Amino acid sequence: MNSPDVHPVSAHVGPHIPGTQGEVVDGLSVFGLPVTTTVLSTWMFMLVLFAVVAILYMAIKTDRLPRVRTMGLDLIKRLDDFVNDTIGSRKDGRIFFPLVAGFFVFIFLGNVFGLILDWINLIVPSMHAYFRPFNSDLNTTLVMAVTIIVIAQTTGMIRKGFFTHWKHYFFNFSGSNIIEKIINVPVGWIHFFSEVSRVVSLSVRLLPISLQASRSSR
Amino acid sequence: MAYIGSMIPAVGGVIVLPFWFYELLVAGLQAFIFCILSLVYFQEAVTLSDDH
Repeated sequence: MNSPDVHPVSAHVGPHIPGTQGEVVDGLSVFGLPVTTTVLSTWMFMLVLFAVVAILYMAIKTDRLPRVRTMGLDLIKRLDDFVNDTIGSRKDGRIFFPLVAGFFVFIFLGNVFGLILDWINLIVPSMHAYFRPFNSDLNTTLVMAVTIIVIAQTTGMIRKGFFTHWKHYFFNFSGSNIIEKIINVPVGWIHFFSEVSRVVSLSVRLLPISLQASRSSR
Repeated sequence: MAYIGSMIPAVGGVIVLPFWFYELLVAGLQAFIFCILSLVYFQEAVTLSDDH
C-alpha cells in the first residue's frame, strides 16, 4: 500500500498548463481592482498597436516612408477585396470593413506579440510574473466573439425588422406545406441555440495558439 | 514552443526560433478564420432570405 508520505504534494510533471484567466500581478492594482498578467500585456500591446497604426497613417498620408506606404495600401486593398468577396456586396463590405479588418490586424498582431512575449519569458523566466499572451485569456476572446454575434444580430434586426428577425428563430412557420411548417419551428429553435454555440466556437477557437504559447514551465 | 525551449538549457531560446515562424503562419490563419466566420455571420444577417 502506498504511504501518503511518499507524495506529500501532488507534483505536476510536464508543462505548466495555464488557467483560462491571467494571474494577478503582485502589487499592481487600478482603482482597487487587481491587474492580471494578460491585462498588463494588453496595455503593452495597445501601445505597440497605436504606434504601428500611427506610423502607417503617417506613411499613407505624407509619403515620407514610401515602402511602408505601399505595404499599408496593399494590405488595406487585400483586406477590402477579402471582405467584399466574402460578404458578396461592396456596399455591405464598406460597412463591415473597419470592424473585420480591425479584428484581423488585432488578432494577427496580438498573436505575434504573444509569441514574442513567450520568447522573452523563455529567455527571462522572471517575466512570467508580469506578462502572458492576452489571447490566452478567455475573457479577451469571449469579448471578441460576443461583439461579432451582437453586431450580426443587431444588423439582422435593422435589415429584416425586429419581429421578422426573431420570428425566424422562435416562430418559424415557413414552408410550403404543413409538414415543412411543423419541422421548421424546432429548426428555428436549433438555429437560435446555434447562435450561442457560435460565441463558444469563436472564443475557444482563438485560445489554442496562445495557450500553447503560454504553456511554458515555470 | 517555450516548453520545449525550456527543456534545453542555454540554447533553448535559439532552437525554438524556427518553430516561431511556423507559429507565425498559425497566427495568420487564426486571424483569417475568425474574420471569414465573422463575415459569414454578417452576410447571413444582411440576407433577407428565410431559408435554413
